[in-house]
Amino acid sequence: MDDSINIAILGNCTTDYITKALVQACGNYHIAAEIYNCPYRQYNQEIINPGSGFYKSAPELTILFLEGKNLFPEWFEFKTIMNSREQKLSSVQSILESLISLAEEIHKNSGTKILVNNFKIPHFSPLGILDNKYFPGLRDMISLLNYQLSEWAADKDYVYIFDYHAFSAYYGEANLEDAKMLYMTKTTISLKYTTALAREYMKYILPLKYRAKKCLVLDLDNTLWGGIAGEDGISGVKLDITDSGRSFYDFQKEILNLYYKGVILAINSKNNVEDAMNIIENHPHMLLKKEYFSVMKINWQDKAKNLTEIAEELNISTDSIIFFDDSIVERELVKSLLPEVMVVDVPVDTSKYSDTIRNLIEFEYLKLTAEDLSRNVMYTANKKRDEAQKKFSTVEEYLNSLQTKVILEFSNDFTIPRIAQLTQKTNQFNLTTKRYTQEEITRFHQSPDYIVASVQVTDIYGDNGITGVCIVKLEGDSAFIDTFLLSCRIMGRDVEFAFLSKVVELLRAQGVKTVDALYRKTERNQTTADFYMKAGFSVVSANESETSYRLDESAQPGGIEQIETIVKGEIPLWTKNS
Amino acid sequence: MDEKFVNLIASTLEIPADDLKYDSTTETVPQWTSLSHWEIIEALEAQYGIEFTMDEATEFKNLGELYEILQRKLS
Repeated sequence: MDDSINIAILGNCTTDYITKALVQACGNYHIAAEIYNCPYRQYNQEIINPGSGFYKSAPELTILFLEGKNLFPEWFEFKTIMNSREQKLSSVQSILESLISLAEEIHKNSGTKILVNNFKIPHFSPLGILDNKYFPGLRDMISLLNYQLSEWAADKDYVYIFDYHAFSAYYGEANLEDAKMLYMTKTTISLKYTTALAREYMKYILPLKYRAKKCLVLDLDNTLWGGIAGEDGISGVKLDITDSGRSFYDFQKEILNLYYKGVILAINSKNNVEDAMNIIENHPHMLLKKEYFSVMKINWQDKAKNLTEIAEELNISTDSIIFFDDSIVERELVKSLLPEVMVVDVPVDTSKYSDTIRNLIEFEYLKLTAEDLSRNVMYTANKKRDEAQKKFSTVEEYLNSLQTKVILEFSNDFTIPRIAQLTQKTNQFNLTTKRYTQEEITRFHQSPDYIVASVQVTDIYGDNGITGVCIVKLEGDSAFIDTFLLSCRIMGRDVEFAFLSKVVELLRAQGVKTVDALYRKTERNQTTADFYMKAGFSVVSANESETSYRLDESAQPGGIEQIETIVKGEIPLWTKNS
Repeated sequence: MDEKFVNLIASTLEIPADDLKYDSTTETVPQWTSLSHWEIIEALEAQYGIEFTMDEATEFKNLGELYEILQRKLS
C-alpha cells in the first residue's frame, strides 16, 4: 500500500457492508483504509462527545450516512403530508437545522472533511398521484431538504454533499432496496450496490489523497472520429451530429467539458501529420480543435515513448496521465511499459465512449481554483512560449524576451486556498514536500511566528497565476524556510532564484540574520537537490534523506537580471514581531 | 451437499471447503456471521437464479438444511 486514510462512517442504519466495500475500493488504489464504523444509531452521542471513539479514530473523511426513512419516518405517513404547508415547511427546516448542527459540531471538534449523504426521493408516496397536489408532498419535502442542504454547504470547504438521490436514481431505487436484508440486518442498500456506492465515495477520497489525474491523452483514429484519417480522409471519417458519427461528436463534447474543468489534453496518434491535422483543423464537426491540445504527438514512434515525452513537455509525471486509445495492442503496450499510466478499458462499441469518460472517477477535484479554470489557457500560452524559444539562438536571449515579472504577495483570504492547493499538488520543485490543508495555512497566516508568501508570474504571453509558495518560520533573529515550491508550469526560467532573493531581502530588512533551509528528498523532487547550494547557501549537515543549509549573515542570493520582482500589497505580517 | 454449493459457500466465507459439513452452523463456523450470511444468500440467489423468502433465508438449523431448501426451490 502506498498510502493510507482514516475514514469514519456515522449512520442510522447498518453500515458494515459499506465499510467492507470501501476498504476494498481503497485497496484497488493501493490506499490502506482504516475505517471507524460508528455503532448503529449512536452517531448523535459520538458527535457530541469530544472523547468518543469517532474523534479518537482521527478521521480525514467522515461520511454521514443517514437514511431519510429513519431520520424523518413521519414524513412517510399519510397524515403528515396532509398537514398544513407551514407545518411541513417547518418540519423540513428543523431536519435541515439538525443536520447542520451535527456537521458544525463535527467541524468544531475535528479537522475532518465531512461528506453528508442527501436523501433519496422515493418513487412511492402514501398519497400516490396526489402527492404534489398537497404541496409540498413527500417528494417535494425531500427535494426541498436536499436543495437547502446543498445551498448551505456550497461555500463551506469542510463539508461536501454526496448526492445519494442521484446515485439512487442512476441505479434505481427498486434495485437498491432489498427488503429481506432491510428487515433482518437494517441494511438499506443491497450488497450488489454497496460496491457502486464505495466507488462514488472514491471520487472524494482520490483527490483527498492527491490521486486525481491531471491529463487526458487521446488517440485519433477510431477514438476522436470513426475510421482512419490516412484511408478515409476528411470526408470519409465518421463524425457528425445526426447519424452514428454522433457518438464521436458527443464523446468530444464530454472531453471539452473536462478541458474547461482544467484537465490538460494531449494527442498520441500514429498518423501522417498532414492527414490528421487536416481533419482537426478543417472538419466541420471537430470540436476539439488544435488549440485545446497542450501537446500533439502525431508520428510513428511507439506510444509509450510519446507518453513519456508528453509528460516531460508538460512537466507532469506519467502517473498523472490517463490514456484513451481504441486499440488494445497500443493499450497493452503502454500498460506493460508504463504501468503507472492509467489506461482506460475502451469498449468496442463506440456508442459507449461518452459513458466511459463520464464514469471515470479520477478527474474529480475537491476545489476548482481560478488557476484550474484558466490552466489550459496558460498551457496554450506555454506552447507559444516554447515555439518562440526556437526563434532565439540562446536561452538567455529567449528568457530576456519574455519580460518575466515575479509578483510577491503575502497570504490573504484570496490566496490561501491556492497556496494550500500548491503545497498539496506540487511534487517536482518542492524542497520539503510538506502538505498543508487550507486550515493549516490559515493558522500560519494568523501566527506571528510564520510568514506565508506566494508569487504570481506574468510575461508577455500572459498571466501564469499563483505558481510559487514560500513559508518561513521566524525564530528570533534567524529564520527557517519551511516550504519553498514552484509549480512545474514555470520551471526552467530562474523564477525560483528571483523569488528566494526577494524573500531573503525582505527578511533582512526586518533584522533577520541567518536563514536556515532544508531539502527533503522524495522520489520526485531530485532536480531541486542543489537549489540552495546554487543560491549561495552552505551545507550544515546532510544524510541520506535530508540536507540542512544555512545562509550566513553576510550573504545575499543574487536576483535575476532579466526578471523584475515586485512586492504586491502591504507587508502586514512582516512587522508583527518587531 | 454437492460440490458447487459447498464451494460457493466456502469462497463467500473465504474458508476451505473441507471446513463445511452438513451439520455446520453459525456457531461452529466462526466466519459465518450475521453479516456474511447475507453475502451467502445473495451469492446463492445470483448463482441459482432463485429468490429466498425472508423465512427461508433465516429459519434453518444448519448448512444441510439450507441446502435442502435450495434443492426444493430448484425442483
